[in-house]
Amino acid sequence: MTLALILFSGVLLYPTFQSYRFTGKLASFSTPEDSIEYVNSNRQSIQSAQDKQLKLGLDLQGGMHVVLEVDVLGLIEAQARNRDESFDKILLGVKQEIKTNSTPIPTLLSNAFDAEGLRLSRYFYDDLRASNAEITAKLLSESESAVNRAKEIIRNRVDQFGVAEPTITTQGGRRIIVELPGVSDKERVRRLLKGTAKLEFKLVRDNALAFKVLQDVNTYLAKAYQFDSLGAPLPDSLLSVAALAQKRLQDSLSTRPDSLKSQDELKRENPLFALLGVEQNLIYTTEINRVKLQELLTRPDVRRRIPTDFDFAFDARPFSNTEDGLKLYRLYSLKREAELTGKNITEARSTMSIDGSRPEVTMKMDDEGAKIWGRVTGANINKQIAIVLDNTVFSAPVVQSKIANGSSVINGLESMQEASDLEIVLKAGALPAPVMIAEERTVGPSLGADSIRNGMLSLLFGFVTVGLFMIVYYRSAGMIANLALVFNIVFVIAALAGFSATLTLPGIAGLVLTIGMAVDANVLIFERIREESGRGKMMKLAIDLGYDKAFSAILDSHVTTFAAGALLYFFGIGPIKGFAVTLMIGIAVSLFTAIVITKIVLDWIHDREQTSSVSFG
Amino acid sequence: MRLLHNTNFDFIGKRKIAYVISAVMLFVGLGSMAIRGFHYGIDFKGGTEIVLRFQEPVEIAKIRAIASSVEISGVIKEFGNPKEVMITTDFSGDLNDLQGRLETGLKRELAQNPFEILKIDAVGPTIANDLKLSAVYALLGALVIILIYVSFRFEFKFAAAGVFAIFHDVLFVAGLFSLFGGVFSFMSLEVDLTVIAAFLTIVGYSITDTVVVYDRIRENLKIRKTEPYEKVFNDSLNETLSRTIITSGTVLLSVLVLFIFGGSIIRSFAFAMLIGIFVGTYSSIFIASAIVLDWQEKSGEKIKLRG
Repeated sequence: MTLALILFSGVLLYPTFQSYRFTGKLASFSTPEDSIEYVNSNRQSIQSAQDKQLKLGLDLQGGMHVVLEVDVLGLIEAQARNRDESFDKILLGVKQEIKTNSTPIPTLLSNAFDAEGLRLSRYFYDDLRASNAEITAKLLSESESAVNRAKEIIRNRVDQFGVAEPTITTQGGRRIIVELPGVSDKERVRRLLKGTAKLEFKLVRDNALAFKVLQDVNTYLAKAYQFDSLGAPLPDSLLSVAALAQKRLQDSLSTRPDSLKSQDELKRENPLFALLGVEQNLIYTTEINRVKLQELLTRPDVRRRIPTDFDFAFDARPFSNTEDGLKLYRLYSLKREAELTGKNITEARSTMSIDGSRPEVTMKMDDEGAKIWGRVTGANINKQIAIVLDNTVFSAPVVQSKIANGSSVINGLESMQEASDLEIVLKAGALPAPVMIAEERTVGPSLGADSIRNGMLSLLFGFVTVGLFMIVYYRSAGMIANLALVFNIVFVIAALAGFSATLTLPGIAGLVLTIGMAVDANVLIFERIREESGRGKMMKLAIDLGYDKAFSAILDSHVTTFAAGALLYFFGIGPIKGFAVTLMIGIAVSLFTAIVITKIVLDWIHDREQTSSVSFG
Repeated sequence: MRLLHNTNFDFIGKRKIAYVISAVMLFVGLGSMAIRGFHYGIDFKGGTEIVLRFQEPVEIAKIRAIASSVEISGVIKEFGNPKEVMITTDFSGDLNDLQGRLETGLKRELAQNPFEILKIDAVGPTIANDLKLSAVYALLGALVIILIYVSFRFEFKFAAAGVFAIFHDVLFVAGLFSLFGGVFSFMSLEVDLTVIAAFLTIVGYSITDTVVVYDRIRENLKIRKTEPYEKVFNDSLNETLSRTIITSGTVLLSVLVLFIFGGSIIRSFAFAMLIGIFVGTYSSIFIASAIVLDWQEKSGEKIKLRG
C-alpha cells in the first residue's frame, strides 16, 4: 500500500520533471531553428508533460489576474421604457447597493421594486400582466447571457493576443475573471480587456475650426476659474501656444524683460493652451496633460461652450515621443454624431498588403452598413474618418475613394501589432454591456522568480532546522520521523500536480507550515513512547501503546486544523486559496506519513533485529 | 535528549495571575482596535498598490516629488529594502493612465536609475467589500465548526473554553497589528488577505494545542476518578508540557524561517504566525483548561466526557 502510494506519486510527478527537462533541453540549443525542430519532433510528449505538470501560480511565474465587472445595471437601464422619477430613484438606490452587495443585480432590482410596491412590468417588456418574478427571471437570463457574450468576446481577444494557457471564468453573475500567466505588457492587456463598448466611425473635422473652439473655451476658462494648480507645463523643447503668444508679443513690442509675464501668469491667462502644443495642422498634448485636458473638456459648463456637432477625442496610442521620452498624443476634433457604428461590421482581418510590405486591415460590413458607408465615403474623399472606440481614436484613415460594397482596406499602419489590435477593436464593436476592471493583480516576472527562490529557500531551511532538531532530540527515531517528512513533502506536491492545483507563494508557506505541523504528530507519538517505556514497559509494547494512545489527540488536532483550512478554501478568498489547499493536503497526508510510515519502519526494524536498536533519545 | 521531563509546575494554581495578564493584554489590544483601528491593506479598503524596483537605491522624498509632479497622490514608502518602493493610491479603474503617468515621470527624472514594476495590485471597492465579508465569514465559520466538533468530542464547556482561547489568541495578534500597523518599514503589519490566512492558521493551531491537553485530561479523568479536578488538570498539563513546547518549537522554527527568508510579501503573515504560536501555546497552558476548571467548579456538576 505504501509502496503503491510512492509509485503513484512518482507517476504524478514525472510530467513535471519531464517538462523541466524539455525546458532545459530547449535552452541548450544555440539556434532557434534547432529548438523549433526539436519542439516539432517532440510536440506530443512536450504537450502532455506540460498539461500534467505542477502548475505555478501567477505570483510565482508572473502574470496578470484581472477581475472584470460587466455593467449589468447599465444594460438593464438601457432596456427600460417609460422611465419616471420613482424608477430613477430606485435605480440610484440599487446603484449604491451593488457597491457592497454581490447578489445578482436583477434580484436586487426586483427586491427594491417589491419594497416600493411597484410593478416591474411598467418599465420592462411589453406584457403589462407579467409578474415581478417573471420579469426578474427574464432580466436574469438576459444579464447572464450578456456576461457570457462578454466573456466570449474577451476570450476571443485574449486568444488573439497570444497568451499561453489563459483562464477565463465567470463569477457571481456579473464578474469575469481573466488569468494571463506570463504576460508583462500590462497596458496592452488592459486596453484590450476594457476597450469595449462603443465602436464608432466619426468624421474628422478641420483643425482651424477646432482652434476656434479651443480659443473660446480657453477664454471662458480663464474668466470663469482661478486655477492655481494645472498640469505640468510643456517642456521647453516644445512650443506651447501660450509660449508662442508670449514670444510674438515680445518680438512685436520688443519690451523690456521685466514686463514679460511669468510662466504662472501665462498659465492663468491661458489655462487650456498651457496644456496644448500646436504644429501646422496638428494639436497635441503630453500624457500627463491629457488627463487634465480630458477633465477640463468634459466639464458640463465647458461642454456647453463646445458646438453641438463637435467633439474632441485623443489618440489611443502616442503618435510620437520627444527626445526626453515624453509621449505625445494627438487631439482630434470630430463630428459628434457617428456616421456608422460597430454593429454593422461583420468581419475584420489584419494582413500584410499584397506586395508584403505594409500591414493592413480589411473590413467588411452588412448591407445596411455598406449603403451608409458608400454614401459617407463618397462624400468625404480625401478626408479622414476616425475609428473611435470608447471615445479614443485608434486610427484615422484617409478616404481614398468611394467604397460601394462595404469591403474596405485600412492601411498606413505602422506595425503588425497595430494592425492586429485594430482588427480586435473592429471586431469588438458589439460588446453587449460595458465592462470595467474591478480588480487587477499583476506580478512581474522578476518578482515571481524572487518568490520562487525565497519560497524554496524557506522550504529548505525549514526542513533542515526541523530535521536537525528531531535528530538531536529523538536520535534514530527522529531520523524515521524525518523520512516520513520527506515523503510528506513529496506526496503533497504530487497531490497538487494530480489535482492540477497550482502552487502559489502562500502555497509554499502552507508547505513550510506543514513541516512544522507534520512533526507534531510524531512528537506526540514519541513523547508517549518515552512515557510508556519510562513506566518500565517493553520497547515493542511501549511503541504500540504510544501509537495507540496518541492517536485520538492527533486525530482531533488534525481535524480541527483541517476544518480551518477547508473554510479558508470554501470562502475562496482569492490568492490565499492556494494556501488552504496545500495546508489541507498537507494535514491529510501527514496523518498518513506520520502515523503509518513511521510505524511500518519501526516494526520492520524490530522484526529484523528482534531487539530494539531504535533510540527515542 | 530530554527537556521538561517529569515537571511539576503549578499552572492551575497560578491561573489568576494568567487571567490578569491576559485581561490587560486584551484590554490594550481592544483599546487600540477601538481607537487606532486597523491598518487595512488594499484587499479590504480598496486601492492601487504599485511596487517598483530600482537598479540603485533611491530616496523616497525624490519619488514623492516625482509622483506629485505627475499628479499621483498617495502613500509612498520603502518596501523591504532601499531599492524597492511601494506606492499606494486610490483605486483607479484606469490603471493605464496611472501607470503611464508614473513611468513618464520616473523616466524623465531618474533616467540614470532604471526601474521595473514588480507588481501592481488594484482592488475596487466592490471586491474589497466582498473580500472583507468572506474573511469574516471564514473566521466565524471556523470558530463555529470547532465549537461543534470539540463539543462533540469532549463536552460543551471544553469547546467553549477552547473557542475562548482562540478568541484570546487572535485578538491578541490582531491587537498587535492594530498597535503597530504601519510603524515598521520592514513589515507593514497591514491587515490583508494573507494576514487573514495567518489568523485562520492560528485558529487551527491554537485549538490543536488545546485539544492535545484536553485529550490528556480526558484520559486521566477516566483513570483517576477519586482525585480532585484541580490536581488532575494540573498533572495533565505537566505531562503534555514537553510535547507542547517541542511542537511549538518546531512550528516556531519553520515560521521563523519564513519570517527571515520568505521575503517582504509574506513577512506580515509570518509575523502573525510567530506571535500567534507564542500566544497559542501560552493560552493552551494557562487559559483554556483553567477556564474549564473554574466553570466546572462554579456549576458544581461532574464532568461527563465522551470519546
